[in-house]
Amino acid sequence: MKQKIAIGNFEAFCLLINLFCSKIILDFPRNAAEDAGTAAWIMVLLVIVTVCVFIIVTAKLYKKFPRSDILDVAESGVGKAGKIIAGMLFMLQYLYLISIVLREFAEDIKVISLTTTPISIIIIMFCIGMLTGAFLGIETIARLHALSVPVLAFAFIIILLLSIPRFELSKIAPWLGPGPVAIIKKTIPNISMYTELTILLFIIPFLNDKANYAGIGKYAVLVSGFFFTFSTLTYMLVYQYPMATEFFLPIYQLARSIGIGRFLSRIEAIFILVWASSAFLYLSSGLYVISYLFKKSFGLKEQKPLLIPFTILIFSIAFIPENLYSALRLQRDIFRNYAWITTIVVPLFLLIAASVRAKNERRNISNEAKNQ
Amino acid sequence: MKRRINRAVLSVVLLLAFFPMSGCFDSIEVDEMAYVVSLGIDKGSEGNMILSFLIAVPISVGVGGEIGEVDKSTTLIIVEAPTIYGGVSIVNSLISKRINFSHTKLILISKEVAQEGVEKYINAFIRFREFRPNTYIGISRGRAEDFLNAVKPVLEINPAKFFELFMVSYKYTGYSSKSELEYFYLNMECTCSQPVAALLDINDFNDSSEFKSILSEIKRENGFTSEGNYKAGDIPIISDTKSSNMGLAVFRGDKMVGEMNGRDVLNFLIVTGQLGRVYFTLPDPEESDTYMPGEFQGMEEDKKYVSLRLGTARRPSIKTRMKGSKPIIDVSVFLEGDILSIDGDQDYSTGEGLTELEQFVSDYIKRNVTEFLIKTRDEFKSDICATGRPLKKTFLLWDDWIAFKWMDKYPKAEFNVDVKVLVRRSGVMTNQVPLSHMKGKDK
Repeated sequence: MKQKIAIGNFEAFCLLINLFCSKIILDFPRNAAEDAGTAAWIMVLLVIVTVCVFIIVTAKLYKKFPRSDILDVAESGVGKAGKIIAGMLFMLQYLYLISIVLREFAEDIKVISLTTTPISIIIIMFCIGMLTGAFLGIETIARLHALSVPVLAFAFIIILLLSIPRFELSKIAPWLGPGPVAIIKKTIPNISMYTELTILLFIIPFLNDKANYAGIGKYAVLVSGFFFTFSTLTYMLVYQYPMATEFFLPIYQLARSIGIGRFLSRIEAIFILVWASSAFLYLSSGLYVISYLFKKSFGLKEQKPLLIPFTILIFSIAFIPENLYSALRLQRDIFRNYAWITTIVVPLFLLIAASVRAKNERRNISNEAKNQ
Repeated sequence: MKRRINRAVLSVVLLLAFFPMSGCFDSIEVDEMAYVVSLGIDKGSEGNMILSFLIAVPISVGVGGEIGEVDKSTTLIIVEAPTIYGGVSIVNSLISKRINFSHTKLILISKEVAQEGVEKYINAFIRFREFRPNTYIGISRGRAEDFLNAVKPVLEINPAKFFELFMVSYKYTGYSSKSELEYFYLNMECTCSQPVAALLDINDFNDSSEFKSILSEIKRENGFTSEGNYKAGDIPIISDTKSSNMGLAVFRGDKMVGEMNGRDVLNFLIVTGQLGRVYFTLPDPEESDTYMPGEFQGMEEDKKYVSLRLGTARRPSIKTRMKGSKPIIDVSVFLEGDILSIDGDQDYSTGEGLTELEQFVSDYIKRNVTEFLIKTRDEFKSDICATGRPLKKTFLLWDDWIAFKWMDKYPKAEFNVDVKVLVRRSGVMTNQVPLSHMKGKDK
């Protein structure tokens, strides 16, 4: 008998938190500074509000499809072909994202720690971890998240709190940075920072408390929003704009410059631990989702045989960018500008289509009943 | 069966992963590296730079509990190269170890180089991972090479610790300020403040008879002599430790535009809120008609002083507003002090004497701070106290702030300084009964 996958609320919550917040340790505060200058934190708040509104709207539409994931909804809305197209769309998005993120994580670790190790070896190391996690399944990944995320969050908060003595309020002035219109314009592509929210729509059938998925999403967005805002504010209050746009790894830079007395310094060692753990968890979840989407889209019975081919594919795609800068650009200029469409527009379209179709079907049934 | 095989394969893969994870490629033993304690930069010939690497010799510093030899705890290597890392390669080619900057405590740039601009050097240090953000930056009044050659730690066997403690002495002397790489870079890049760096030099007096020339020069420049009126290299002191850290190099952007002596630095620390707990000497209020230091009644030899331990009571407040095109800068300072010594017969520990002393100290510091701020405006034209920060907070849009060009406005600034000093304690004595009150003046 096949074992049933069951993910608890807290596990799902931690899974989402890590998926969202891994960007903070990569480059989010710097990207926010590049987009909205001194008003980066305001832009982050606007993104959080927008995503919360999206969750509320989605939850209302989703009420009609309890226990279904978004691909089931796509099937009931636009048919089997629609399900495959939607599945492929999400899968390709994650394939692109995970490959680029894998390259970024590997490049980052090469810059700050393993400077002479070939990038291929570092990527292989990440791939082994990623493959192991995905092989053990989403339940194990979610449980590992539940164990690790509180510890990682604590270490992360410590890094941010130790930066407080260097805060200077004038560094986030002028308050509106490039102006309200520019901030709002930049809010839209930045919704992509919550692109992993769609994973919640895929794992609904695995949740213990399926009815509460919107609550999990909302809390995850709010808590990760706190981390996004707090980290961006901390970074900007220490490194003023435009200097804030210079550092490759903002939080690592923050950690490097923490020094309290002669005894507490070089605490970036904690950062590297937080970062590597978060990376392994993120990449494992990503690989699992990619293979799950492929399996679900084409109605396959087994998922595990897909893991090694997808790992090889991700490994190969990760080498496409010529250098670190190209990898950053691929994420910033291409992925971020369009990922918000698959995060918000596609799920909403599928839900609306399925709702309309369900309504029409109900109407037809009632008409037929009347005619009879 | 299949499950068992899968687990076995997984275990083997994970086991194999441990080997490269131990860092085969990046592994380097501690004793394979040469740790640079201090790096000096001087101007070389034909656009080159002269780099001085002061490298720790761990075996001489001491092994385990055994104390090493102080004289041999460092070795100096000097090289001329077009770039810093070019110089590093040359040095690497002649020593058996690899140069490493992860324990570098001091980057010393000569005044000659600093006056031409330090941006390219600072960028190189900020970008390179091995340099810590809290590495100290110093400006050598003479050649950096000479300074590193002459520096001889006497009371500290570990050269890294010597530089570390040497550069934070300002917390209890008040004659230098925080001068760290990242802090310098932050101010250099800031649109509302300018950077400063510690001023270092060799103090090479052999006999106390040489002091007179220094003192007369200081008196000619300042009109009086006080313990803080010196700059590094010109301090009347004889010591085996030749290095001195007094004063600050003032920058406008990345170029050094002037020097401040120890007393100016004290005022800088007061205004910027960096003042630790320092010994502060001022003329005895009863012995001086005016509040200007040095203008004493009577003979030079009769000068009387009051010494305090001075510190910040509250963070200073700086408010800046525009009146037409002129910035009006209101500086409010609240300090507290403890009486350490009183040379004269007057007791300032309690009552009216205490009030008189507090008023005198407040006015004295107010005058000094105002003169210092005027100096930054007229002589340096450099907002080193970051007085533009409050004004920046009044702007809503970045483009408006940049178009405002604060740095061009600063030389027109007008200062209003308010200083309040409270004397909190008087040492272990509540009052002082002078000998002359009991035995007469000449007994």
